[in-house]
Amino acid sequence: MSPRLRLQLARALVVTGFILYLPANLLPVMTITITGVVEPLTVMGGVQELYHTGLVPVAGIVFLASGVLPVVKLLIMAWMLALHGSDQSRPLRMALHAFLLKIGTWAMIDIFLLSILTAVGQLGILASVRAEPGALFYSALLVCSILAVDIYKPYMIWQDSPKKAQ
Amino acid sequence: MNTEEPKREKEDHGEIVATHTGNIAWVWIFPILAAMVAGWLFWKQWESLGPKIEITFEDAPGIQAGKTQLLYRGVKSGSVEAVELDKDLNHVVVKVQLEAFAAELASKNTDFWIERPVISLTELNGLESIIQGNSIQARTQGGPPETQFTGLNKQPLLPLEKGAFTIRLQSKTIPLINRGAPVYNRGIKVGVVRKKGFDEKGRPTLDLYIDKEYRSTVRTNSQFWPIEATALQLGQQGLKLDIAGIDALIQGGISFDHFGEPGAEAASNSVFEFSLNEFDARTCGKTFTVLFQEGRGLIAGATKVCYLGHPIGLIDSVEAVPASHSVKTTMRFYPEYDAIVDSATKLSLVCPRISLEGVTGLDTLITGVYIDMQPGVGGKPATELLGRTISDREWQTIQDERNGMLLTLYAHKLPTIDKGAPVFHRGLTVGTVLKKSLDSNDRATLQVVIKPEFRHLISGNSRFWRIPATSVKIGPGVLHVELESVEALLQGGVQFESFGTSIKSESPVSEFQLFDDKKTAQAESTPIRIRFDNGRGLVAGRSELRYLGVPVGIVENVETKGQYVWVVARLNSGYDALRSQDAVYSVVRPNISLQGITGLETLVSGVYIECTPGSSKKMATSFVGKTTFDSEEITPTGLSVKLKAEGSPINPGASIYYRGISVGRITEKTLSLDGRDVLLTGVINRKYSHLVHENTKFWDASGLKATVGFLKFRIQTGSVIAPDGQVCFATPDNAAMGPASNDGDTFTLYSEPQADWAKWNPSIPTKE
Repeated sequence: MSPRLRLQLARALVVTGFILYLPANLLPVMTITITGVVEPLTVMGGVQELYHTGLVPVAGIVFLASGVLPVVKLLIMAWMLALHGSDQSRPLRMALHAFLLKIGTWAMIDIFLLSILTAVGQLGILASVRAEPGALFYSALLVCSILAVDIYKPYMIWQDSPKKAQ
Repeated sequence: MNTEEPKREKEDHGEIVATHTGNIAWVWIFPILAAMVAGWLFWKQWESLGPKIEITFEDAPGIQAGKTQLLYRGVKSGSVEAVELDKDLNHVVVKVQLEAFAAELASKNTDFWIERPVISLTELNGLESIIQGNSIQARTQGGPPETQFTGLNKQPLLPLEKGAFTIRLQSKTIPLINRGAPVYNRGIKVGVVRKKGFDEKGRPTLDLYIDKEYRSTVRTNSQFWPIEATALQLGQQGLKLDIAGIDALIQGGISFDHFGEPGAEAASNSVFEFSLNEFDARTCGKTFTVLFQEGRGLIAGATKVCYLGHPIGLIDSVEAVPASHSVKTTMRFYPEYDAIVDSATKLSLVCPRISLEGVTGLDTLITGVYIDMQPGVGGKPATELLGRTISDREWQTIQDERNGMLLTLYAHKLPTIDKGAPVFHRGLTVGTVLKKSLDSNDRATLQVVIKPEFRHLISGNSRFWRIPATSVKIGPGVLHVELESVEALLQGGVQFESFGTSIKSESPVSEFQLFDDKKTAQAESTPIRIRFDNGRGLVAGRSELRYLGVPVGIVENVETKGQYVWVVARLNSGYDALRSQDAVYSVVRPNISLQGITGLETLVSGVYIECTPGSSKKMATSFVGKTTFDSEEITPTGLSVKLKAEGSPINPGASIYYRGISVGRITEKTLSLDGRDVLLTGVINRKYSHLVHENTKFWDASGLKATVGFLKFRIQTGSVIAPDGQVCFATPDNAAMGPASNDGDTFTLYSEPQADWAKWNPSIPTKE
């Protein structure tokens, strides 16, 4: 795969990630039915729920991890891709890239937990958890951002843009 | 990429040229795809959204924005987007986003309400909302689109659909019937009370919802009445508490039915009258207006009209009319009785009455007064009738009057017999005195009615007499106090009996004489007249006629006419022999003499007239009475013989002896027709009458006789022992005695016996 393709693919994935971010957050990721009460939850709804139940730190963590982090990742990625070919703050980009790679694997924890919850949380009429389309978008978003980070190799940070090279 | 490789090889001079950008444009398929999928999803979601509506509630407990759902027939048809208060904080505005498929809910006739759990004795509702939380429910009948709604405060009972079968009841007052109370038709629940309210005229109304499958049970002539949750009855069975059912006890219920022929099926939204109770409902016949003199105890909607004691009607309204000084009531009957109510119908108010006659209408103390209806004969159809206010007793009398036998009793005077006094027959009350009055002849008359079941007891020879309150009789040695019933003691009474064979007359007799007492009544009605020289001790209405010591009649009247005393007496029936021309009547008075004491019982019982029947077939009504001292003398109706003598010192009362035994008595001393002889009438005791035969010789044995030598003389002394003298007789021996003598045979009374007479010793067996 040529660096150019990598670059374009990464860019395309980041754009896709941004697009997916909307349905991922606007559509409910899961439906919790507890004693007949059907409660569709979006990511932010879940944060709200946690916040209202008094679990402010947890709400904060979830908000950061599930709500903010994906978009931060996409933003960082977008920034790095935007600076592709320039020689601005290359060491910072390297550091950020390494960081993104590192936390990238953890991003799926939400989906992992959701899938466990969906599998386990089938208590008949008392409670049930069902994954909703939002989760699909969410995981797609995560996949997009992970792939984008993975495809955009660190050496490409150091590549000069073709125009500049000319 | 393969296309790139040869290029790169071709220009492999280390010269970097711009790659063909179009080659890798395909990567952009990812964002496009994502955008398309997301867009499609958003579009789909947007498409599923129906209109937004706003519902205003008084309060909205448990309604949460984003969570609470709008349910229609149990299906989520929308969700609450926002819950707000209006500006003046009086209402809650709930904004609901409807689903697209439920867009029809946003129409004008849709009702929204908050379903919350209701747990009460009568209903258990909205249980699911305990678990799921409150929800907003809707029902609709359609209508033009609308987005602003006012929510119901209460949950409506039934989903009101298009074409639901509802009927409306209206009444002056609606009893305690709650929303949701069941509606029964013959015990089957066919609907519920949907709404309580007022109509345009301010009359209370009840809206009923009838299940579609039962709508045929509602007919145009259906009658509706509330089910009495509890009925406390104080009656003959004691105190009785009926509880229709727990639900009825708490929220009441409505029952309906049609009486008589079923009418056509009622249309939806028809209006019916709501009756006060079942009885009120059943009496759905024509309305009659009845005027009463007095309306005491009449209660509209409660006082019943009874026919033969069976309630068939109800007073609808009671209203005093000052103009006519009466009480105007309207009443209705069971439809099937409409036909028998006409202008001849008697309607009488029965109320309790406590009087000397007794306590009547006591049941009405508990049941309240009622109106007794008696169908009349020959009435014309009418809707305006006249009622009467009477007591139960009077009602009874009316009953009797209608069915019973009316009699008129007349008497000279009528003491202590009141209206309502009983008429007895052998101790049974068989009738009542209706009226006491004077007739045109100035006679006191009693109108008496005999109950129908006893009318056969009245015959031509029935005798009526007054029952005195008490009678004290002093019989021989016995003081007899006769105390009639207390009732009779207070108001007197009339008793009757038929003596002798009953005479069935063709036309029923309706006029009778009322006698003073039983004895007078018992005596045969054709009186006999007896002439006495002296009427001492004879009391009208008291002195008896006796035959063989048994009372057979009564002296009815004692009057003097000329020099004689005329006694009018009545004989009991069956003693026709005593009417025979030659019957003998004699007054028995007490006599104390040396001979003995006779008629002593008359000291106590009073003087009586002893009767001796005659043998003649000819009847007489006028007799000549005798005065005698001893009843015994007359009593032997035995053999009457005539003794002829030229002259005799013997007087009536002299005894007749046979072998020294007194067997008879001289009763009369007269001159013979030609005046030459003295005729003595002797009566031989029946027991000894067979001793007298044709050849029997009678002789005078009175006085002291002395025979001195051949000179016979007799000292005529009024014997101390037998002042009237003595007669003896002897009968020859069997061969010569001749046939037994008959009544009225004449014998010669010898002055002294011949010697051989004393030797006669016939054996004469008694006839018996």
